[in-house]
Amino acid sequence: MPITSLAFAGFVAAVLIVYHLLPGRAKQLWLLAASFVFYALWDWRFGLILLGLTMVNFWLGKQLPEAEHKAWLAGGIGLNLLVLVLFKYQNFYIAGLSRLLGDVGLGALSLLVPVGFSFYLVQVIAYFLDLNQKRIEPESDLVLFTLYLYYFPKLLSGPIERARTFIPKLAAPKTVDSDLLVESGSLIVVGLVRKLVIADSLLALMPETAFTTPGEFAAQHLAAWLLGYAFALYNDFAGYTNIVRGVSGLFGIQLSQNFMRPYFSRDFTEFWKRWHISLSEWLRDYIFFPTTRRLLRSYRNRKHIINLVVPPMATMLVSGMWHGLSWQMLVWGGLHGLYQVLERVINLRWPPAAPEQQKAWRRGLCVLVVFVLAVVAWLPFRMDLPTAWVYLTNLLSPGQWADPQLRRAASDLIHGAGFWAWPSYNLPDPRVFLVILPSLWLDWRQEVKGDELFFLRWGKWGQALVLLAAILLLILVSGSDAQVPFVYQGF
Amino acid sequence: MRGSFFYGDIYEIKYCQEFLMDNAKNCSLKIDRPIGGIILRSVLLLVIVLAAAEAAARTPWLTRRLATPSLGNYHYQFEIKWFHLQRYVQENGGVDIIFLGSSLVNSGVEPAAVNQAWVEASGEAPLRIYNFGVEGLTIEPNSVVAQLLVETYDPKAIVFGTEIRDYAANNGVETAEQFLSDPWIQYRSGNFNLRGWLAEHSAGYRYFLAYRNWMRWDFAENQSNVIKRTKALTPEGYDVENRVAENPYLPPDPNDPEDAEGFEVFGGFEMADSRLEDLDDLLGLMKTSETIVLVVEMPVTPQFFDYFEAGEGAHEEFLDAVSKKVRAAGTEFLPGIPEDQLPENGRSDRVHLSKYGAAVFSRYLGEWLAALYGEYGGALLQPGGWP
Repeated sequence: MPITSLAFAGFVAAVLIVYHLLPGRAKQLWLLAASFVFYALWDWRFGLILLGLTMVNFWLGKQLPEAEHKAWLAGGIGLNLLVLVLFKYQNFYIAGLSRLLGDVGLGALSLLVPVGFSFYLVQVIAYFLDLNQKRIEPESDLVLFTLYLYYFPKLLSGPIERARTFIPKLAAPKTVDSDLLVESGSLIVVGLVRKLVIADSLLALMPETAFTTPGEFAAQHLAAWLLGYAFALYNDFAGYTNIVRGVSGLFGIQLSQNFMRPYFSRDFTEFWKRWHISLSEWLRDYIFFPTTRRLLRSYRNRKHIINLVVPPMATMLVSGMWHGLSWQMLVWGGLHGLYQVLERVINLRWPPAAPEQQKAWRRGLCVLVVFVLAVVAWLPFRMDLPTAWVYLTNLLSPGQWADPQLRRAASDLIHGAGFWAWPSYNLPDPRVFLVILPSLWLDWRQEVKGDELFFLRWGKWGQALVLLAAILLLILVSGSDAQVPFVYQGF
Repeated sequence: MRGSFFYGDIYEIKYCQEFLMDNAKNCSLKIDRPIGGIILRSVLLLVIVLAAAEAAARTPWLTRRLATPSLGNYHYQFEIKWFHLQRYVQENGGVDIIFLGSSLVNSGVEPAAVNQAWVEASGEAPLRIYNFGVEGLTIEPNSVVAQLLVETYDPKAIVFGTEIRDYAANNGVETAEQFLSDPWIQYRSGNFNLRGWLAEHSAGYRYFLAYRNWMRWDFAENQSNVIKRTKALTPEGYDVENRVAENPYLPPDPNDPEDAEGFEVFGGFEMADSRLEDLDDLLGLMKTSETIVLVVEMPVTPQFFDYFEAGEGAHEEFLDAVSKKVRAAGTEFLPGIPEDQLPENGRSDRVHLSKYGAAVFSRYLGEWLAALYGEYGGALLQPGGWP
């Protein structure tokens, strides 16, 4: 049941009506049942496995504070990692194991591929580590604990919530008043526009072969598609997050904001404070800070090369591995690690100025540099390394930029026959830029106003026009034959 | 029955009210200010915008500048033909005979040549003949298309061009499934759905559907193809095939990957009952309408039957089964033109005719129509006049 489907809307409506009529404890049980049904509709078998694993994690959590050595912690984390490796990374061993089983007459092996398990995993690890550090008490309520990990709006792709902040929200949800209702509804509408109008359109605008055989295309097309991919990925995940935050808001349970105009970042430290924030904060708290602290014990000088290089590099490599155990994800993470290392080195020589003290052109230049480097890093994120290399070298080779047929394009356009012949002009697809515009406009207004729902401050007719525009845009893409699943649902 | 929500006596209703009131105390939803105003305003604006779009889509000035409208069907050549026929009917005040079938009809029947032969042989005025051959459509979808054509245009006759592949159970299955599940086809077949209803009744929606894939990377190329293919049609819907096969009479080679699929699909051929039922449905139109249904065999090369284990025997089985059904329905079947009557350059491949072959085959059809006209005393052109 994709969360952009009418079936999901119906499901949420049904759950919501009953939820708001139930008393406190029954609300939690109802949400838990709904969450299980939701997951079961994806795969009931893994739903059951996840439920069983959650019980074990609950029990392990109770043992941790009383445990005298770290074996319980290692065991708890190890068990969950084992499940991850067993199910999610089965590609690495399933063929060999199947052969082995075949040899002893047990036939081929095929395991389920769990949806959203990476998100589940990091939440459990955070819970165990927080318990181990005595930052929280073990959760004594099995229903709340299960709901924390199993809550359906965030089950598939986050946001990654921490037990110490999220379980209290589940225990005492807010009353949903008119303001929260309007905010939640607005988040859903913005999320649908980001996902269905911007992300899906951009993804449909690129031929699949662009990312498998980029050598077949002129560099101007590759540049436009890479730009399109950067905005598609962002709007896909930000759209998803907006939708689930909106849905959760309808239950009076607020989820974390996962994105804050990342492409307006002036440096990579800021980028990771704005992109997939809940994962970045997890990586910061459980990888970056502990690594930094540990290294500072050995190398007391903060400017020591080890202290400059290892924490960001280790953090981003773990981030890459979380996205997938593959060389391409490691390179993606490594590139972001490298960017941050370089940034730290540069900052030693030229300490960064506060944004308000920075000149506008310089701020703009920083934003542009960070954006271009982030876009380059999406290459290994999207395609295997040899292909990414071909893509990059084609972009950088002057010979790959085909002569644009500007004069013919202008002449055809004047005579009203240009659009259908566009592919023959060697010009990048203008629709890519057209679709990116609403994303840029949204981000720009949010950045300027410092409010992601800035339009709620407009007058009633202004708000009505925004809603109308959203509905018309959604209608405009509703007839498409192409359906694109959420990119981050694969993690 | 206390507690049931399904019984309408007063006690039950009172209980339901109490239940809801009790739970309302727990209700965590508090609408403390009206929030419907913005939604209402948006809906009002939406209605205005949609009404304006619908009105604009009905103005000739705009429609001349827009792409060919669409019914939302994935088969764009079907849509080209559908709207092309619509224009043909508008310009000619109706249509007398529609040739229906697959790509073999599309490029194998030239209405102008049929007409010429018809006029010469019958001495009557020209007929309004349209070629509604659509690539890839077997008898299964075509039996439904025939129904739609009859309901929409009420032609005097439908001439269904058929061939042996129409009756292979595993041929064209996916195409048929996709085609027949289309909302508009479903709606026209009596299964109400909103998208089908809109495609049928809203001009604005039909133009919207024409641009529905505007964000696909190959949209411009596809639209360009639609324009090219529409322009390539003669006013009567004939899709001229200029290519001529060098040697269409070479037997297929089981070791050639291109031919292997043919052996796989048609090797164990049997006349499929379901396809014969489709033929029954098609012929059944004569009972539910005043349209006459005639059936002709589209000619394929003798070597084409090498794909079939039974060879020419499969061909004979097909001819026998189809001709019997057609005659049992009280109408006429015309076997394909003998291969030696086609010119040397008459084929574009083993099954399709080139424009040279189509010209000869079309005369053959025109003369046949004239012969039927003479045989049945002009009943062919009389509404409901088929004996």
